Amino acid sequence: MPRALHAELQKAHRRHDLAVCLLVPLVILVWVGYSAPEVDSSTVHPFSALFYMGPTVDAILMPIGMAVLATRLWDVEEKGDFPKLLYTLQSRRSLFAAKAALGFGEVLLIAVLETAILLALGWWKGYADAVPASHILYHFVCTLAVCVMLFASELLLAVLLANPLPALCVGVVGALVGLFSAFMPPIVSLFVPWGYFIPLSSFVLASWDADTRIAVYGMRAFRPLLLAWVVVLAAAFFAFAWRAVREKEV
Amino acid sequence: MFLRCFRAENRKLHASPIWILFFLLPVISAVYGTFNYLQNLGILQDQWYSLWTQHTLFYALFFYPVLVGVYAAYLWRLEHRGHNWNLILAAPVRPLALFLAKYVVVLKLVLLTQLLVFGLYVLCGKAFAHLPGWPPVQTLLFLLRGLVGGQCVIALQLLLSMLIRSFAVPVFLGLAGGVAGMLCASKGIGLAFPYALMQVGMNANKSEDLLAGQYGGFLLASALWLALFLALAHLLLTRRDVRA
Amino acid sequence: MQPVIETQELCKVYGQRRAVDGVELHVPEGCVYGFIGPNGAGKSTTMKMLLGLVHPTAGRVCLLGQPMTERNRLALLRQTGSLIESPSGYPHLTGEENLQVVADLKGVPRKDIDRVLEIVDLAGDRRRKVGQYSLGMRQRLGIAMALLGSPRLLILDEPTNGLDPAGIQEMRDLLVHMPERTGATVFVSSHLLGEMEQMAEQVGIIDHGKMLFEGPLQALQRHSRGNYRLRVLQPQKAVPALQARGVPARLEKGALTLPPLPDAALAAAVQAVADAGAGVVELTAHTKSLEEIFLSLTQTREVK
Repeated sequence: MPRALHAELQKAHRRHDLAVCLLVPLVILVWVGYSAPEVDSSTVHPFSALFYMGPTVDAILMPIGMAVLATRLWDVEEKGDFPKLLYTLQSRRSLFAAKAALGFGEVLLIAVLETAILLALGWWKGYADAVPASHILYHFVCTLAVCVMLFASELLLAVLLANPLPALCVGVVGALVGLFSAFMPPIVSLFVPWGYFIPLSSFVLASWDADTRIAVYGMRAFRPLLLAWVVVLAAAFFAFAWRAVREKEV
Repeated sequence: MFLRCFRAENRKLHASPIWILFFLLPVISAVYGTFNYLQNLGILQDQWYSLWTQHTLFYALFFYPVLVGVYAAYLWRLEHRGHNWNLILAAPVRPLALFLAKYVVVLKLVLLTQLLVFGLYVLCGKAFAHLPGWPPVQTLLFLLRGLVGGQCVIALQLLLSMLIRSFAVPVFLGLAGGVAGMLCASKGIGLAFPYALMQVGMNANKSEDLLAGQYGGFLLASALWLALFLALAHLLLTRRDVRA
Repeated sequence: MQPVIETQELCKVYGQRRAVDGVELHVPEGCVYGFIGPNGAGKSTTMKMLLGLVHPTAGRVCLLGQPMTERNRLALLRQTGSLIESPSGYPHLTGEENLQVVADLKGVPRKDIDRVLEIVDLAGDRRRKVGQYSLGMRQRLGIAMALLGSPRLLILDEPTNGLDPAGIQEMRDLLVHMPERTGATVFVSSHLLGEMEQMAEQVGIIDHGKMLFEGPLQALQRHSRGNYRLRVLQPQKAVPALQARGVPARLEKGALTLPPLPDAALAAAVQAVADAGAGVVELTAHTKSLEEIFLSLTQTREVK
């Protein structure tokens, strides 16, 4: 595995993978940064408001972002016509494991930055209310889990179809459907994996008064069952992707 | 010569199932838009105008530039793979004609998408939302304005896909552009940013006319951005050595 | 001596099509083996099965004296170098970086990269991105990748594809002398018979998935006995004489064409023609080139 991982890193050279990984959090930074409420505005618990915004932004950006990462990771082999040589040099298992590891590393980086950005923005804006560490951690874990699940599903599509177009289109449609599911009755959002950021989120808009225009944000209970389901989905997609790599005839 | 290019590019697009996307996104937008409208009748009281914003909001903000990004990336993919660049640039065709052919093909597809969005809007308005009468003529105007505003995004995405060999990255850049456009429009500097022109044109997030009295500026901005992107494309196609 | 490659009843079926049908290869060690067949004969599929890239529907592959299983496959392949169909190469990396990836995966020291680059004459272009390579350069890079680590067995699919005449000559010299220089066995496929004639010692001919012939090139050439051309002064007198002896002769361009005959029969036929007063001037033997042998072999299959 170390040798295979080293090969993956060599292939990533000059592909500007890091830049692409950083692009996603950058967009989050700009978006949330512009939309973040001011301290004296009509938002109660602005820090919670920030963490409430995060999942909605994620639901739009992440499906496409993960599609970009996954297709680039696999497409490099197709572009170089390399599988038939690689399979004589290394086992398919080590190739897949190395790709999955590198992919996971990229997704982890993005998830860490996403949470860090939300925290940094809140601190920079001088929000007074504090968010309990457990909720921050939960937010990070949920974001990571859903992103990994999305990444694995896109990787599966990229391997099966050897063409980035369908995988990307699924990401696009998924983002649209996921975003919309946030505005649907809560039960619908349980059936839309791309939008799982939103039902998993432990932050809510507690109340919005149309007259005073005061928005109150709060917190709610964690949803461990849904989180577990996301992890199961992620594992399943990885397993299917692994099977696809193993069975694919060159 | 241009016509030949156009026919070739047209055939490319029809040869692939990519048109499914052009059909699916408006349908999904229409379904959710109508549903959301019906759920929020208390707040959304402008009837046809409110339904319009529900149908077109997310489409204009984010998914239009992404859709255009996917089309543009697809049209350049064949040149990027297999060293077709040499073939293309050696053909007796002006490079800008090639770029324009792609532009027109995507424009055609976007026009069809816009018409589909409008058709679904009218259908849902009558059949599901039971709105009285017919939609105001202004919504048709919004539609056409959207196309005028959005056409420079087509040129920009084609430029990005031409320069960036990756298929997926320009698509994400389109999404990022859509986000930036949304922010620009909300800060009032919508006319200064190509991605924002589409949203402003389609009047996607407000019932009152956003462009009242600003048509001149809007059209000028549209034209200027297009001219800039076409000039850049021409420059890059003719000056750069073919690095296949 | 154990053959380096041996297959038994190797088959590959795709749906209704038998791409490879009961192929039995025996490649002796230290030779250059030419695997010849027209396009679509099943050469690439067979070679992919040799490398374990494609699972045989039936049959067995033995590589380097051992039956190839999932467990020992990579260990065996570590001692081989291969180039199948089009050459591999990441377009965004330089030639050198591509070789580094392959060398690292193979466990070959980086110094070997300089050696193979010299051999394929790409040392000057090592720092250019493969995306900018010409077809010939990419082909040479693919061969360089196969040569890394000085493998015991080279399996190359149309290695001279895309090379210019000078390049083809260099490649041929390289491959022909490889067994004596490094002791390696070279398994080359091609549909260019002229090439094979100059390179191979052993040949295997495949068509429509079936082996038509396997053996030393000389044995094949022994089958190359062709027609005889008999030039006489008065052909009209010769023809009846030959017909009387039961020798079918054709008159072409003022000369008689006789089918292949054993020496005794030939001598008797010529005697008969001379006795008939036709005036024997010249008797030449036409040797079939490898191409003609090949065509006649493959065409007899098709007549089936």
